[in-house]
Amino acid sequence: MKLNVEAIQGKVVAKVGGSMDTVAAPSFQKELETWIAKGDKAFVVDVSELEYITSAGLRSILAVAKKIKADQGTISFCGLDGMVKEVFEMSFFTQMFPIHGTLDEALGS
Amino acid sequence: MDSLRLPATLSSLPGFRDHVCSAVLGLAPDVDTGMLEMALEELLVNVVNYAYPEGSGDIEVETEARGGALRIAIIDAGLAYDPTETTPPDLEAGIEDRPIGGLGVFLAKKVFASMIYRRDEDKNILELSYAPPPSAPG
Repeated sequence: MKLNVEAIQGKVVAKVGGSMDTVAAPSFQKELETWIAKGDKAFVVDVSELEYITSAGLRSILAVAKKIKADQGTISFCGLDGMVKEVFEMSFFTQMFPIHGTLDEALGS
Repeated sequence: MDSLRLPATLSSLPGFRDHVCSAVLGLAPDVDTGMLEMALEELLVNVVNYAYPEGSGDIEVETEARGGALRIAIIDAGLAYDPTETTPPDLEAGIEDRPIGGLGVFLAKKVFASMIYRRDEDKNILELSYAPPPSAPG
């Protein structure tokens, strides 16, 4: 898994790539939690480079989302494609979270 | 029938994945194996995490092509566990109410055409059937 997190236009953008599987998912959660702890409230996860996700990845995302929600923050996703999109749809994550086509759209929302 | 037996550890997952993917690609060379890899990983991780709490053990994965579909069996000698009995997750709940976890077996059930569990003496045997989907364009 590749993960790059930076502040863009007042939002925290986490660009995740590669595989978000059983082994990798906890590091995503840990990294995002450090940003939450710093007081950031607006998060965008860009999954356009993510090729593979399992329920462990979904679990990390949900754990992070619960923390953000508890702080009255927001989390949205962009760049869903391929099997990642399919897994999001099956799990109803596409109904739980705002989904945008591109990062620009997510930043503008 | 091809069989692969490896220790029940996370480091065995790539070996099992390659074993099953090569069997599927033998049936359908153009198939995108992403969803299958995910579904297989969900079931194997459950065995790795829960089957052998007292120590170590093995997992055996059998593959066999049957009439255009692939039969996969996941066999372990650990604690009795029937994943087909898992309660389905509440998909309609919002972020605050949605329980963390419980999605793995649910996703696997969506990917496999069938999932049949049986306990045979001291073994868990999970029989799966996978029908390769028609190739997506591009």
